[in-house]
Amino acid sequence: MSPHTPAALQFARVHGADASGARKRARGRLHNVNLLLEPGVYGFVGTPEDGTAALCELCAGARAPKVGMLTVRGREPSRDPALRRSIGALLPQPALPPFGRVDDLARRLGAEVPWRDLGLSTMAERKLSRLSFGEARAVELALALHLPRPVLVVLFEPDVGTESIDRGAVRRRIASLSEAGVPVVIASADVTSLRTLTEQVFVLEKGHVVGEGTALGWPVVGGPHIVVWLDGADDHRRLTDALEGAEAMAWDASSGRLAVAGDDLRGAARAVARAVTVSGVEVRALRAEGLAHPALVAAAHEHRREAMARGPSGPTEVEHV
Amino acid sequence: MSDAVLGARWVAGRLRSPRAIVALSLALAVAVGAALAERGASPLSAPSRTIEAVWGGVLPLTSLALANAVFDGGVATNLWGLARFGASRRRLAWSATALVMLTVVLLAVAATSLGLVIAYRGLPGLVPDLLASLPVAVAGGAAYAGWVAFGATFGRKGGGRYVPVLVDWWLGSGVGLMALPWPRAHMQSLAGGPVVLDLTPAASSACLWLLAVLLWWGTGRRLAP
Repeated sequence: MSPHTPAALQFARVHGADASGARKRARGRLHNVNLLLEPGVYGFVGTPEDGTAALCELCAGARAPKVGMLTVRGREPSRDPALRRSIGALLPQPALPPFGRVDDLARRLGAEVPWRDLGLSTMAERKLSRLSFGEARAVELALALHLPRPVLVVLFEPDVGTESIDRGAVRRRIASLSEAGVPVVIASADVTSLRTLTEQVFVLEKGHVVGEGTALGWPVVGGPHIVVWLDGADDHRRLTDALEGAEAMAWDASSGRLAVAGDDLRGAARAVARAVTVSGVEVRALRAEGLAHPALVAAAHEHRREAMARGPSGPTEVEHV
Repeated sequence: MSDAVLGARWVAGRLRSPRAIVALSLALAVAVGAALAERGASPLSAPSRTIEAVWGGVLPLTSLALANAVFDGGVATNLWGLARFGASRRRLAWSATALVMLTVVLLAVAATSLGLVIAYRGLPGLVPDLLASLPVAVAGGAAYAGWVAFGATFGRKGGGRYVPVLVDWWLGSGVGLMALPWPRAHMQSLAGGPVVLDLTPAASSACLWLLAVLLWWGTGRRLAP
């Protein structure tokens, strides 16, 4: 990126809140978020209480940060109607114009939505005011992914309430948007879905970005995995030599804990069982961990403690990706 | 489609809701009822007492009821469904507020005319009174609609719309400086009641129009673009 080219998405000391709770109250807040994101697919793991809803609403321009500045290609979405037109957004609460038909809206936006390919062939003819919550979310997701010349796509829990949409088509479209140089931000509490969609994951906890996935051992930490407790490094070596089909592994020598991730939990379990049989290693204990966000948050705290123990060369203030 | 047309279409949809239609029908029914009751009690004072009821009660309460139908949930929140696709929230709000003002003005004209026609039945002086009253009803209706629309930009769900109606009732009944920004004070004065700050009728009318314009402009300016 040239120093004069504005970042695709920049958070500069952003504090803000959403309004997706009961009686329009905030469910979560962001506190002092500093990020510079270039085109790619980014996941933000957390619940709305951790600030995922606030993050999406701020990115889409539904509201302005209370403090700090959020810019998309150097412009503020909350203050720039023309920019908002180029931001595809799926937010916690569907908000569509209360008049006209779905295909009228798509035409007005210049969005060429392949309704049939998405599994929404009957949706195009529907009146916007007659859509149910799930249908409105499905329409918003379809529009968000097919805006002409988008500058940013923001998706809040894209797998929730949008069961009618073909998941494969959504994945392919997200990948093609990313290849076309569009930043895609996906916020979800479901790490498994993020794992299949995103290139990089940030962990949100109580409004703070507490870590970045790769640094925390993503996708082993946070993704569904099997944890095996062994007697020592020798057993660890023998078991890992015999492990086939595991996607990633993380070994903690101090506790004798080996985490094994596969394509999914079942794949990881199968790989561990096969390796134990082949190697003859004695396993002290074994546990399946599907929990995602808490594991990533715990890893983030551990990472921070280690960084502080190492001294002043800790993580930089602004994550530049 | 321009932002102004989008805003007007959105408000038009809200004004066709059962809530708005009931409010408008009820307002006209109350105006007719008040005129009939005043006429039965005292035919000579019926016109002025009918005007008092329509301008002092029907107009502010109907403005509030229409604001509830249109702006419930907050102005910015309601407009987000249009603003997210590239419409300016300000232009949408200006357009929406203008249409609410027009509706309240039409209601004020209809309620005032109906009330006076019934109150004057068989008595001379209907036409001069209509000619004097209708411009005040128009300006007052616009000012009341402006106040409730501006109030709806405050609070998470636009709850600020209740405040101007309450304060108008309280401070607008006076004649001092505090009564100056409230439509009730000027409408009372123009209907022959106590005069606000010794202002002439023309100055009171100008105050009502100035309030309407400033509040219309302020409603849009309160929102981000």
